[in-house]
Amino acid sequence: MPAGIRMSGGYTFKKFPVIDGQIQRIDIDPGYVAVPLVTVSGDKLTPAVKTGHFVRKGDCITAYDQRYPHRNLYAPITGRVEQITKVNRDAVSTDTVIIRQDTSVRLPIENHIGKAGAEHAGLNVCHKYISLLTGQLDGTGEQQPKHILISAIYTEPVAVTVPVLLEGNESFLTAGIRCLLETYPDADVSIISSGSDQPVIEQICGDFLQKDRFRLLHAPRKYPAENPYIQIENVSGYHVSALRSPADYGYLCIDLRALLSLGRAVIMRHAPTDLFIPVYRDEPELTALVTVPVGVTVAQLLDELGCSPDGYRIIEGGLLTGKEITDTTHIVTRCTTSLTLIAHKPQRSFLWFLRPGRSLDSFTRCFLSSAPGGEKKVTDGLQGGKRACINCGYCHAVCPADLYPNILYHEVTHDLLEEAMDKNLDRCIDCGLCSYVCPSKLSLAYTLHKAKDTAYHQCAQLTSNRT
Amino acid sequence: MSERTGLLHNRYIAPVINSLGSFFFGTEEHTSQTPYIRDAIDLKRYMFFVILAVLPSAVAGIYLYGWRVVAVIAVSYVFGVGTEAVFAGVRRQDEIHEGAFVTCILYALILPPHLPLWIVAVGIMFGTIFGKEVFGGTGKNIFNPAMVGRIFVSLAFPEAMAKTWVVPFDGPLPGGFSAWMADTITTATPLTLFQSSGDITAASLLFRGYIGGCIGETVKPLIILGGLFLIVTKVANWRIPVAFFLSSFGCAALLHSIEPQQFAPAWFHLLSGGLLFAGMFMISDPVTTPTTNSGKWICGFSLGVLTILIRVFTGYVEGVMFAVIIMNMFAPLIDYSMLNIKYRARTRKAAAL
Repeated sequence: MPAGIRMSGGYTFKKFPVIDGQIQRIDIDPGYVAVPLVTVSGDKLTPAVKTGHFVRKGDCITAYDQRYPHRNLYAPITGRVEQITKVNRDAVSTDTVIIRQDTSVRLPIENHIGKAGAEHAGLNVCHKYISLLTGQLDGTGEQQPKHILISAIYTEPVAVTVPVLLEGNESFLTAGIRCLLETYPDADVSIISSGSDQPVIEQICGDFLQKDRFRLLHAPRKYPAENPYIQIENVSGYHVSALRSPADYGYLCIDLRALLSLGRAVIMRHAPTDLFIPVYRDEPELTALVTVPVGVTVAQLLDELGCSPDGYRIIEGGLLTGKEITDTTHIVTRCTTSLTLIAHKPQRSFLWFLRPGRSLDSFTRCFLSSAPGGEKKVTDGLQGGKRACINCGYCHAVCPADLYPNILYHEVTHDLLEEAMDKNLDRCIDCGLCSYVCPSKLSLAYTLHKAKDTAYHQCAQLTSNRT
Repeated sequence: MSERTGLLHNRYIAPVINSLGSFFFGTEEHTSQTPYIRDAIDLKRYMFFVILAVLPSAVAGIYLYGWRVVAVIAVSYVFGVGTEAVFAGVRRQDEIHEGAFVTCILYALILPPHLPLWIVAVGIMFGTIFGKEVFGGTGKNIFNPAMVGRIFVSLAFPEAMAKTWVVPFDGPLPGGFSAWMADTITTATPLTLFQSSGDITAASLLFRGYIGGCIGETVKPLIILGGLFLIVTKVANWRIPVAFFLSSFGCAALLHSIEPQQFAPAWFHLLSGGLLFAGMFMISDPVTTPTTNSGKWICGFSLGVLTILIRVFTGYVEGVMFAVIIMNMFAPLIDYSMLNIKYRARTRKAAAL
């Protein structure tokens, strides 16, 4: 277990649930999956299959778009289409294809999706897989990235460490990197890792390190190496901006989980329909890295793991940036990066705030709560009501984008949006750390996120008025 | 809160009851937006660490001046929290804010030990109302409320203030712990002594606190200990105190080197009066000081220079009070200018487009 994740300003996250060492690795083989007919960006899709059709794993099940393969959906398991649910075409709910597993299916596929499946050869398929995973390229191979960044660093304090991801998956990783190098012969491939995982990465990437186009990068040292939030501004001049996507800069960004899915897809010869999802709970034995097909419901996944969601809140996509799932029929999609179950119980205890930190549910070193030892659990309590900002400056001290969230919050709540934009509001990366450390328990991150939305809308309106 | 009526649900009493409840037991509130976990720091813990830091100074005050010190602190709390509760009731807040607990003890510790209790009450009420509540409560105040109360008292009741400096108990342990109050032998504080006769109190006396002075500001080792505690636990930012001590020391040393007869040496300024106490506990208040780091340095340096200038060239020997209030006024301006400088390049670029 790492000693803690050091932040700027002397803050240390003491014990976020980082998966490291021996954990469960589970391949979930569900009885059925429900695939919502919607793209990653939320557009509705038309099903190309009918009830009773047989599909093989990796077959395209939506009206095939040659130009944008990453918009298509592929069957996550082999089986029979049991039902296509039709709902009202409103903004919220979507149609869903339910496929019941049937491994005995060996029948020829009787609709046009077979043609798409037949293209599993050559570089074209890699283009498709890569665009399918990243959603950044069009899949036809016309859009060539100049740089490929593989991120092997934590993007959330809640994270599965690189050694755990790699253990037993080395061949997938090498296949993935080889696929990237061959698919884009003109692009240089960089893998960014943090200090502690560097030896593992070096071991895996040994063969590639000889090549000119392959580079191994350290996370920049503005924050210590084990810090989850780095400014990747310093890496090859790559610059995070909310207004332009990395693709505009000629960058293709792919994280280690996606790289593994890619390698697995290339080796197994079907579309990357399996996901690697870390599931966290405060009991270490229930923490697992799960390989799961897209379309499984959260209830199914937890059932396979043997945990009950009672008494827990389920957060999809990390504790700092994710969202809460209230309905366990929620479907695991390509956007699901992790599931965290946090205990939901009353926080009241006698004079809790006076206790020297050991027994406090606290994660930072800014108070005596940093005293070593003691088991700290993840809880979701506010530990105190909302108050006015007291200008303490903790939010600025932890901000990876070097913003003053307290001042931005003040300006945004007083309708001074332009002034806030002048103070780099658009550089906010929505990491949520400001809200996390705020002693006044203000919802800084949420407020700033909303303000950015409003600012972009105004920007868009101005532009459209001008044209 | 429930709609029930009764004494416990009175709009003026409920905030006190609720804050006592959350003070002792915490809250059951839980997160509803990202991030879904929150750090255990909250204002109670934050503010209580300040109280912990000044507690040794308060105990030393009892040792030096007798149990009457406790009465001063108690009166300060009753009237300060009472005023806060009235405002919480008027504003229909759920709870009273924790800042009041810090204000009351800081205010009591910068008063002469034998000040009449009714003056203590008037001062804390004035400080709470006009230093904090008229601006909207903790976090929205421009001035440090404890300092506002102290200035009000020293300007409105100069005679009472001047007569209540007493010779502290000295000697083996029971000291002030066995007496209600020290014999009312009126003495002068080291600063007034220097101003009237030019005598310089010995450094050892100044350091261990056997001098006439305010309750909490005489025993220097305990103040330094408390200040270091706040800095280590990151409740206080180290920049302002460091800048403040450096600049006040430098300014006093400069003046002393020019005219050694007229101006006291730098160590004397540093060890006498409320300079150390204010530097550790008053100007580390984040609400009334700049939030930018460069602003903190500027504020600290200006504070030091102002303090020494007021001490040396005006009739008010306690220059720290006025310097703190003056710099509080400038804190927003300093922040504004620092941010303008930081983001100027971007604004210019936007203007050019």
